[in-house]
Amino acid sequence: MRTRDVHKERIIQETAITMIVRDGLNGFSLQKLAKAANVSPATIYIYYEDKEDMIVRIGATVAEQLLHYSLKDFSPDMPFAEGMKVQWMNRAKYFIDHPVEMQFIELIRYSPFHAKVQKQIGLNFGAIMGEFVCQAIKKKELKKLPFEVYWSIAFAPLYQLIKFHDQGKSFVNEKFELNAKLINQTLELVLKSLKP
Amino acid sequence: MTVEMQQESGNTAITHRRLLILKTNISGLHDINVVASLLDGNANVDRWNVDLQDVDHVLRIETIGITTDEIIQTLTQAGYACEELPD
Repeated sequence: MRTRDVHKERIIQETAITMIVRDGLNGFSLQKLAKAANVSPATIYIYYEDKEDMIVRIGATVAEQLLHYSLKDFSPDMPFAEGMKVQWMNRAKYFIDHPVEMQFIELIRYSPFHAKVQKQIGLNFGAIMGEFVCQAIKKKELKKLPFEVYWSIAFAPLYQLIKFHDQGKSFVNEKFELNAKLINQTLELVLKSLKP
Repeated sequence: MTVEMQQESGNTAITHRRLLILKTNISGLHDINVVASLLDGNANVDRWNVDLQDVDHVLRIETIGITTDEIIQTLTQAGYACEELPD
């Protein structure tokens, strides 16, 4: 008789993330994972129904972890500049502390699994951020923009800085390391451009 | 592999929730429909799926009360190869 083993489940999850980041989603299989995690294929099926179920559920777990991080000390009632600073610092901290998970999230974001992951996420992150944006527009702290334009200005610069940090270099500099001063400098420009 | 699942509520009640993990030769949509006709009507089968992408065509069944032997018998009678996937 066997029962669930939380420790084993965690090892399977961590190994799966590392393998998917290394080999891509297409190169990944439960058989390969079983070998790498040193468990029998049957053991993996205790926790997951199949490859898709595994990718979607691990994707949701990691996404929830990131969202949980990003909402720390954050409230949608905050003044826009303050709330953005909290979001930027929280997200930067998560990605710098979890580089493999960051690559995993990026892989999922541009894969067919993304919609299913979004559906699985229990925490209503969209509603919280939506309220933050709505209040900021009402308080005349934020320009009213199409969502895609807003997101591209509000968050994409941070994600690009984190990518440079992850690569350890940029187009021009052999070495690049992200720090709070650079984050603040970029955020100031972002906030300036989003002001009505 | 057979896994006895622990019920989250009521730690004194004896439960027979099981997870059965079997290696099969179920392949393709036609076979899935045949298996569905065998399992969907069974009130003791909570949920089931076949991983067609896997080399072992793993059949995974969450059940109350059904044993691995009963499932093997049902599928064998329907003409499928089916055996317990070892731990």
